[in-house]
Amino acid sequence: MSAPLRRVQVAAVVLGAVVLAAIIGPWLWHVDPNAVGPLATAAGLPPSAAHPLGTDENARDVLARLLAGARISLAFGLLAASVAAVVGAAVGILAALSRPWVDRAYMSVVDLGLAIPRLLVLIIVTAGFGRLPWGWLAVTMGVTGWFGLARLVRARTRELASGDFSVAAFALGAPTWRVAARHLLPNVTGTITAAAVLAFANAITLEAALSFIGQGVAIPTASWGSLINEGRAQLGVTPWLTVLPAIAIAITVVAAGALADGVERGAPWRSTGGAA
Amino acid sequence: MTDTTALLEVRDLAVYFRGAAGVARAVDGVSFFVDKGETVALVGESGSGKSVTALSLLRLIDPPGRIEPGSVIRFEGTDLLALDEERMRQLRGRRIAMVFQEPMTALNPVFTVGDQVAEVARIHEGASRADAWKRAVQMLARTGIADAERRARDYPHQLSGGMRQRVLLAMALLLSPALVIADEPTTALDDTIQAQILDLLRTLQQETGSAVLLITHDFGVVAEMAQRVLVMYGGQVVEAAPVRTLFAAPAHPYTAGLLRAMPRIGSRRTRLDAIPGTVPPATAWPSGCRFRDRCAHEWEKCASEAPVPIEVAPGHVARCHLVSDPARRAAANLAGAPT
Repeated sequence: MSAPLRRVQVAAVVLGAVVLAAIIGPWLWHVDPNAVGPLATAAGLPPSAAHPLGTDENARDVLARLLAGARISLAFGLLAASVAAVVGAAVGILAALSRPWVDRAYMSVVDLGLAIPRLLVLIIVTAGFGRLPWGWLAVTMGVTGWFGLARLVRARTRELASGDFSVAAFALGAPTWRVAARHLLPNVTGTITAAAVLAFANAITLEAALSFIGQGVAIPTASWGSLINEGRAQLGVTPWLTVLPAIAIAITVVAAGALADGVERGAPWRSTGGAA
Repeated sequence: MTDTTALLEVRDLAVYFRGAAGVARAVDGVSFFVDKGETVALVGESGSGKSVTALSLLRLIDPPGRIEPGSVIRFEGTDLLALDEERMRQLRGRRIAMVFQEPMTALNPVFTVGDQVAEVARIHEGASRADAWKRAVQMLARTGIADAERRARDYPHQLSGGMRQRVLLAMALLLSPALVIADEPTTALDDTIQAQILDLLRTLQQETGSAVLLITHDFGVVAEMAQRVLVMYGGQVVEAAPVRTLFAAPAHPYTAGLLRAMPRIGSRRTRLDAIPGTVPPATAWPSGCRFRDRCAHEWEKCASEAPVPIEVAPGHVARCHLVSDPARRAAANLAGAPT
């Protein structure tokens, strides 16, 4: 077995474990993540049998909040990545198959989108609309995050569209939509998947960044980002409040990155098409 | 009813590519015809404009390339350059089909070969999935693929190069097109497989009555397959003749050079006569005759005046000043037997 394949497998197992924890964790550790305990006796407790990862300054159970945060953060990333993948792939493929001036118009929009700092846009949006429900925040993140993906998909589609089997399909009389749907899309799914996995990791870190400056998902909903934000005031006293969600984010992002890398490099479609 | 018009008639075809390096006149004033059922070979070096000519017959030239105004492509009596895109699309694969050079890359890696043959029937005849599949399997069997029923479920990478080329022929000939354009269909194959594929192409051609425009740079293939030959150089047809005439009495120094560059069994010479130099870029053809830089028989007229096609004999045309200068032509001894 090749080393890249092993890396992808490890990454997939790690990511799978995180997702599994998010899905079944809150059932197994049946504690309300938002239940406030007696502040005088239960706030800022270190790990113990009753609270395996301790409690925060509001006497809430950290393990329960971490698991609940995983659900929100992962769902957030998934939703944002899905929006980015669908919009980006559609624009990328359309641009690649359009007349040169239409292609240039699409790509100007992409260049503009890439030129504007995304965090700034998100801060302005959240400041303007107040605290958005997390779902809408995720959609907003997807809508502002498809530009790079569109460019990748366009490049790959152009390469494939000038390749032999696309020309052959046109030469057999296949209409453009058929070439796009039957011949190009199945061959760019690798690129789309890889870019979407990265967009997923990106969305999770961006949400954390937004939460850190108090513009992320609305309190008291727990996300990994909001947990870091809540814990940072007590960093010296109760460091686990900040460190644990940070580690969760790091593990998820690194695993997603490795997975995307493997999908992009190890896949058989890298060696097909293109040759004119 | 007797039909006196050619199946395909190309007149003054010009395809230019406008880029940063200037205007590349890849095809520049090409005229020829193909009759029903005949095989015409289109011969020339890389860069001579063969493939661009082929693609323009299907109107598959992408920007910045363009078929220039004034070009005429008449097929089955229809002016192809006047058709709207939808009518043109309906012709592709149904009346004019193309076989590509690289059977590996011309097939889509993510679909079975049966699917890809069946797709042609689905596109043009709206055949049902089951019906199209059945026809695809029959067609694959006709191309000599053993156990076609099972092989149809294979993906391109599971087949050998020869088998893949059979699949491409099956796709091209499924709907019995009137014209098949074969762009170096055997260049990527071993010699033994090449002979099999050419045999197959000829057999299928007889069954379907298709005409074949065979693009190649291999005179062995030409001799075996074609009735007439068009020799291209510098985006122009420089000589057109029946096969025997061309081999026996080439009238253009370029054709003569190509023939001399061909290895021959029984020849005592150990070196082949290569034509000196390479094809100049299409952005910078020489003035006058485009071949003159590489021609052993160049004189002043070649630089000052571009030769026009002149009839050497009925059905034999060459674009060379030697044709109209008997003294020089005799001295050049183009048909001279290689010693």
